[in-house]
Amino acid sequence: MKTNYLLPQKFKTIGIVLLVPTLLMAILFLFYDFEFSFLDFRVFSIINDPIMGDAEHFKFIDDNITNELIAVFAILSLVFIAFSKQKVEDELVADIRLKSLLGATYINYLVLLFCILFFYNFTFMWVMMFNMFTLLLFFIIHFNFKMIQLNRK
Amino acid sequence: MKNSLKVERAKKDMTQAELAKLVNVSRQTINAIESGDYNLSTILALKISKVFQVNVNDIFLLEAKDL
Repeated sequence: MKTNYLLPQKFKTIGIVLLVPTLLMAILFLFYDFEFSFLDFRVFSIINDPIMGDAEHFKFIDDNITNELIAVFAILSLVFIAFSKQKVEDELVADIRLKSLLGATYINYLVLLFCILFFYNFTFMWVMMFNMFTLLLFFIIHFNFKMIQLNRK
Repeated sequence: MKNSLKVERAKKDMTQAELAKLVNVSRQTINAIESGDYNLSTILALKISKVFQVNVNDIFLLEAKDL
């Protein structure tokens, strides 16, 4: 069976290799405010709405892009891990993949609904930040768990 | 859906892995079909029936609960 839109198998390894330093950088950034000084750039922003001052549109601004790079690498590595082909990519794997995506979407939005109702202010901002990655994370966990179960049979 | 895949394999003295290779799926997929854990696609059913040179209905049968 043809399964379209999946990445080649080697992308899973690339994703894992990319995820390790990204996670390290994310921990350093989140808990120690770590930023690489060589990543100070003048970047183009569509909307820049600082806490102090007025919003600016379509302007070049000065920014350290450490956090942007962490987010980009985290998304890329998770997408690579989630959507790369298995060694044998047949219709059963496609079925498991689809069910896992559905399961992960339900879990993700149940968690988000819970957080909307019970987490407020700055904590909710943290929730929204992590929510960028949790759908992919839940999918990877669910899918790989099902694949391990299948391979044991 | 019931199936007699195991019987057909036994007739031809064929392992799950050998059948899997012939129809281009994993051994686990053949195992899941045999144990009724997975309802296969029409294409795969036709491929399997071609391997055993029988009609699809001779291997895969609808049960009352499927109707």
